[in-house]
This record gives sequence, C-alpha cells and structure tokens, in this order.
Amino acid sequence: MPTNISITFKGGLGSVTAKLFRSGILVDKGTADKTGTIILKDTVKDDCISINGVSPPGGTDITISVTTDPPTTIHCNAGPILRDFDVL
Amino acid sequence: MGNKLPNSIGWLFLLLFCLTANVRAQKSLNPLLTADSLASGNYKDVLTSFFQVGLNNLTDTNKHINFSSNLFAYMLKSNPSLNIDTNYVKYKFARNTNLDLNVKLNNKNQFNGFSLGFRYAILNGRDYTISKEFISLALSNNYDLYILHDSLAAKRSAIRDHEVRKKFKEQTEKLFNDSAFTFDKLDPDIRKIVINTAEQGNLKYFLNLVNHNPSVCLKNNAKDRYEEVKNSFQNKPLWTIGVNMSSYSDRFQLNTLNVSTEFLKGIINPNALSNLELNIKGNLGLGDDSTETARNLKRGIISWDAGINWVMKGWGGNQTFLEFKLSANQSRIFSGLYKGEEGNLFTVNGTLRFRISNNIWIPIQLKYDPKTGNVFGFLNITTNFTGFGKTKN
Repeated sequence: MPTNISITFKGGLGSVTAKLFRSGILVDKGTADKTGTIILKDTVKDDCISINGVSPPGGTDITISVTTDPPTTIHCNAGPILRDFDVL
Repeated sequence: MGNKLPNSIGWLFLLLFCLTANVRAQKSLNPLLTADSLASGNYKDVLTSFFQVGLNNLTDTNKHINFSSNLFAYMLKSNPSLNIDTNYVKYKFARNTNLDLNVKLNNKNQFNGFSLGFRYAILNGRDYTISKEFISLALSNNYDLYILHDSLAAKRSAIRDHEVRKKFKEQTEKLFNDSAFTFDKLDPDIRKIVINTAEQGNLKYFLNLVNHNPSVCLKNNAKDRYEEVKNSFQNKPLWTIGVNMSSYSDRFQLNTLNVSTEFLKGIINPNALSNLELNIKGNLGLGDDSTETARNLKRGIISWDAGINWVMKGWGGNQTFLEFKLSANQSRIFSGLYKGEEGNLFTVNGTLRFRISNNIWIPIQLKYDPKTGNVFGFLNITTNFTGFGKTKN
C-alpha cells in the first residue's frame, strides 16, 4: 500500500532521505528538504524503512502512515538522524 | 571601585539567584529551540538569538539593567508555528533583529532614565539554521554512518527468522541511537556482520574508527562530527548596524542618539580549544552639551574600537568558558568640546568574560588611558536564554 512519511522540521532547515528495503533490495526512496511528505508507492509487511538526515535546532517530527516498529510519531533532536522502521 | 564592592556583590548575588532560578524553571520545560550555546559570549553580546538580560556597571554609581531580545523570539512566543521551517525561513528580518531596552539606575538604585535600541545583522554568516551549505556539510561529515545504516537496514529486511531479525534490530538501533552503547557491546555475530557490511561498502572512516577505538559510541561520534560543522560556522562573519537613543530621568526627551556598526569574525580554527575573533566597532554619538542651559544634542563624538577576542573552550563538551578581549579605542569629540577637555581620547581596553553556568556570563571590563595612566573598571553580568518553554498552541 502507498505510505506517507510526514516530516516536520523545526527551527531551521533540515533534510531527510527515506529508503524502502525489501528482501535486501532498495525498492523506493524519497527526500525531503523542507516540511512535507515523502510518498513510498508500495510497502508490504516486513519491509524496512531507513531514514537518514540532519535535524535542525528545533528537531524533526517523523510520522509514518502505516503501522511500524517502533511506532511513530517520533521526535529527533538536532543533529544526525539515523532511524529505521519495520513495516508491520 | 573598592568601596562600592559590598553593594555590588549584593546586586550580583540577587541577580544570580533570580537568573539561575529562571534558568532552572526553563530547563524543566521541553525547549522548542536550542540556541547555539557553543557561541562566544562576545558574539551573544553583538547579536542575541533569543533573550539576554544584563546588569552592567555593577561597581559604578550609574548601573544599567539591560534587556535584549531577538524580534523573532517575541513573535515565536505568541505563534509557535513560526518555528516550522517553511515559516521560519520567511522571517529573515525578524531573526536578524535585536531590540534593546536599557534602564539606568542611580547610586540609590532609583530610575535614572532609559534607552531604547535596535540592531540588525546585515551579514549573518553564523546563522547555520538556514544554510544549505551547513546541511550538505553535516551530511557529508557522517557519510560513512549513513551508508552503513542503510546497508544494515537492507540486510535486516532480508532476514526471515523473526527472533534473529528482532535481535538484529535491537542491536543496530542501539548502535546508532543509544548514547551509552559502544561498538564493542555489540554481540560478536552482529559485530561481524557490521564489519563485513562496512568492508563491502569500503567505509574506510568507519573501519578505521572502530579498529582504533572499539569502545567508540557511534551516536556520540556522529553528534561530534555534526558539532564540528556547527562550530565551523562560528568563524563566519557577522556585521551589525544599530541605533540607540536614551532619555533623561525626569521626562521623555532625547538625551543621546547613537548610530553604531560592529563586525565580528573568527580567525583561527573554530574547532580548536582556543580561537581568536576579530571585533571592530564604530560609533557616532550625539549628546547633550551641558554647558548650555537648554537641553540639546550639540555634543558629537565619533569613536572606533578594534580588538581581538581570545576564546577558550572546554566547558560542558566544547562550550566556551573563558574569553579575553583586548582592544584599542579612539574617540574624538567633534562638537561641543568642554573647556579644558581633551578632544581626542585613546584607551586600551580589556574585557574578561567567564562563564559561571550554561547561560550566565560575567564580563569584567577594564579601560586604560595611556596618557593619564588611569584605569577604570566595570563589572557586568549577562545571561543568554537559549530556548523557550513549551507554549500553548
């Protein structure tokens, strides 16, 4: 199913790239350089979403529209973002 | 200076008590923003990011209570949504504008007039929050970790055994996001996978790092490399212009009018434990010629000040804890010179700033007049509020 990853940067500019991996293969990816949504066209159970980037001074909120482990919304503090999620 | 010291110490303790209580109260809340607390105290005096409160000339008969604020900080307080990047970038003028209110007190601590000021940063290279160059450097400085993180996520997505996958996830999650978890705490089998993955990706920085220091914490290492980039922006130029006007104590009438400009730039490696900042100021001031009965603005003074600020780091990680600024100041009275008064004044100034807590600085200013041999001293205290408590939406 299509999955929306909502990104909210606070207190300045940030950047994140979300990559969708399935059975060891990169199947989709998207980047957000400002507050908005990254759309991954098709996610299925046991996919892994890796999110890398830089969070601005006020932090970054990440919300994934499907059920994941760990659940979202998560808040990332200022600095590097290295988070990953399993699609349940 | 000496006979006024007990009174000053009382002021100092009172202000310290109020400020530390305030800071403690703020810390209990979740800050929406954090300022660049790595910045030098001198920089924060030139342009504050949030709020700054200062008590100046503690040992003098004319004390000042100074409150400086960033215009954007005011706006953010009433509208937290301005903090979102798409709004944040639109308010460049507000983010680069400081408003100053200065209340003067006489030796009986009674109101003795006030001044209002406005400062604008026409060049603010230190604002990394809106810099795409900063983002790009911060990403490239942790390139190996990002590639490794993606590669391990890819590997995990191929694991079918639920228990193995769960353990792999827990360990790699800690590896990248737990500030108390070190590389050598990984289970040996997972450590082997991580090393193999790094070798396949030719991630030389990472391999070198864990080979030389197996007890490295990757989260802290990534944060340190991010801070390195942040520090590098502390050397960039800052240029402000400002207008300041003060009133008499008995009525709202212009007593002085000053137009000023200030330039600040770091000149050595900002990531080193000690750094130097070039600081140049110019000021054109008009004030009351007291030899005339009527109040006026006939007395004019032009001055410049050039100095070097020596910044020592090491507090709380890499924060500045001690600074010493040495500067030369020349003032020329171009109109309204009093009888017997020297029209040109040259002084050598020293300002020692030391940090007594995360947000509180004590600057001690010394002025030396080489012609008369006189030394004047001023004891100040300033605090920089580095964030806002949670505000209602």
